[in-house]
Amino acid sequence: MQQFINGLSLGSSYALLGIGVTLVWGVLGILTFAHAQTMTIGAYAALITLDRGYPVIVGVIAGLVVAGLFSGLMDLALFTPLRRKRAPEFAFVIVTIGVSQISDAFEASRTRSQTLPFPRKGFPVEPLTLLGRNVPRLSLVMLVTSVIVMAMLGYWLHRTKSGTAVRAVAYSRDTGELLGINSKWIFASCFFISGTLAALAGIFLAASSGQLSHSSNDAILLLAFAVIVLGGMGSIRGAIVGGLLLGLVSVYATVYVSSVFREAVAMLTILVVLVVRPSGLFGEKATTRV
Amino acid sequence: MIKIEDLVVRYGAVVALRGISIEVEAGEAVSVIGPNGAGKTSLMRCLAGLIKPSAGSIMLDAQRIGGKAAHIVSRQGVVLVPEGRAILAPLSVKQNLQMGGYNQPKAEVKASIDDMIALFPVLGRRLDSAGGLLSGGEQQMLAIARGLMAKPRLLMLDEPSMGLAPKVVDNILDALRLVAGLGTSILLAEQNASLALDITERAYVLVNGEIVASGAAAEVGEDLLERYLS
Ligand SMILES: Nc1ncnc2c1ncn2[C@@H]1O[C@H](COP(=O)(O)OP(=O)(O)OP(=O)(O)O)[C@@H](O)[C@H]1O
Ligand SMILES: [Mg+2]
Repeated sequence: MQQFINGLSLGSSYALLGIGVTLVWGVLGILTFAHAQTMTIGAYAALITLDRGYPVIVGVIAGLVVAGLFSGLMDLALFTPLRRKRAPEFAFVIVTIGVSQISDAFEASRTRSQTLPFPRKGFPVEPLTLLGRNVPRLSLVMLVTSVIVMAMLGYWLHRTKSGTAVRAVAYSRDTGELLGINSKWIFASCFFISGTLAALAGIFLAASSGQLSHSSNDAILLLAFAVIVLGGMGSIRGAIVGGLLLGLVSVYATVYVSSVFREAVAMLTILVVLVVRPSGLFGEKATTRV
Repeated sequence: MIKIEDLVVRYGAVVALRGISIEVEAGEAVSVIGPNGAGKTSLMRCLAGLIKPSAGSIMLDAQRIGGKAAHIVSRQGVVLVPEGRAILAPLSVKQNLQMGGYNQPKAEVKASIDDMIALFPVLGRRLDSAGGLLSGGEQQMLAIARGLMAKPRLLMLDEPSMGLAPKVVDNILDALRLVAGLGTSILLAEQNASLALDITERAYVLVNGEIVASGAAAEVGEDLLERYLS
């Protein structure tokens, strides 16, 4: 039970990341290698705010806003001109790698490459007794928050006007523009939301481990990509299920095999799924990404 | 209402439009007739703001719209029903229509959807189907209805008859006559000359990126007949 909750909560942060990547990928058709750094920046912003003694909720909001702005401004400043020139997709990928390296170097120099303790005061870290067992309360909060966020995202994309406009632009930017939709803002807002999702995952992970460094999330980028491949490239639903599954597998692998094999077992799961279903769990046609 | 002067469109070294001038008055229905590769789609996409003109001007009344972004041109009331329909396949028919009215007030979108169902009753029966599941004819009706949702001043249509059965084409032409009758200006790009001349008052003949003939539909029709028969 406890491992199950732990797995789901780790999985929900993978899912949040996966959704964030899927959201911009669904719209733009590119992979954002800057995602791990966005996550780290969000967590740092929260850390700095919390260190100043602000309450947890303020720290979380600061993290979300800073990471969202980082991501949204990256789109406006770098990708908008590239899109205007109809640059090839690969150019975008290179730019995201560049952004990620630069911000990594910046964070490394700012923190002198040290691992900082992440203030957990105010986070719901003490265990909770559920059905006679101890369950880490933070894991539960993480899981519930993620589920709420994912439900909100689904509602937004499918039931609201602006969400529908995102899906319209995702399907065809030209058609969206012909219908009077300002695609530039659609892109920027998707990047913003993607950034906030990354920050949420980053803060959760930092709070559960109690520490943060500039390279904390490097390995996670690969996992985020793995999540979306597992889920079926570009499907939001797939990213959620893929993330949860990967979280469970990672936790059970740590408990029953060894933490050394944690990533390896996760990757093995992906290989097995892909061999059986090459298009992933929820693989759809490439045209219906969101 | 819209005045195009010496418009040039290039794709790198390829010149698609070689300085053409076209005018559409308020309430007028005008066609641009031309064979494959004449430059019809280039003209439509350029007017809609999807591609930038290399030279020349596009004026909507006193406003210069040449070179503006497509969503701005659309908001000004110049709306394109693109070649190949461009239905948003994963969105429902209703959502396609709603997106057509993206810049309209909510209450008007509701009323306009009812109008569109009256214009094309088929759509009313398919409101919740995914747009991609409609037949070609139904998709063309949806594309036109979606364009009308924006309450355009000028409705531009790029080969609406392409690949459709004659009966469906008739259906669509009737709808366009109705729309024109209500005062919306129409600019129709067609390969099918007789069809275009049937519903427009004036026509331009576009060949190889140049206007080779223009005038009242009847005259242009005779002109074309002579050319093809002699
Ligand atoms: N994206 C593009 N890149 C390069 N050349 C293009 C492009 N689009 C069109 N062209 C060229 O421009 C010319 C005009 O093409 P356009 O599509 O405007 O013609 P059209 O009249 O719409 O033809 P059709 O009846 O086949 O739709 C053609 O020679 C075409 O090859
Ligand atoms: Mg064409």
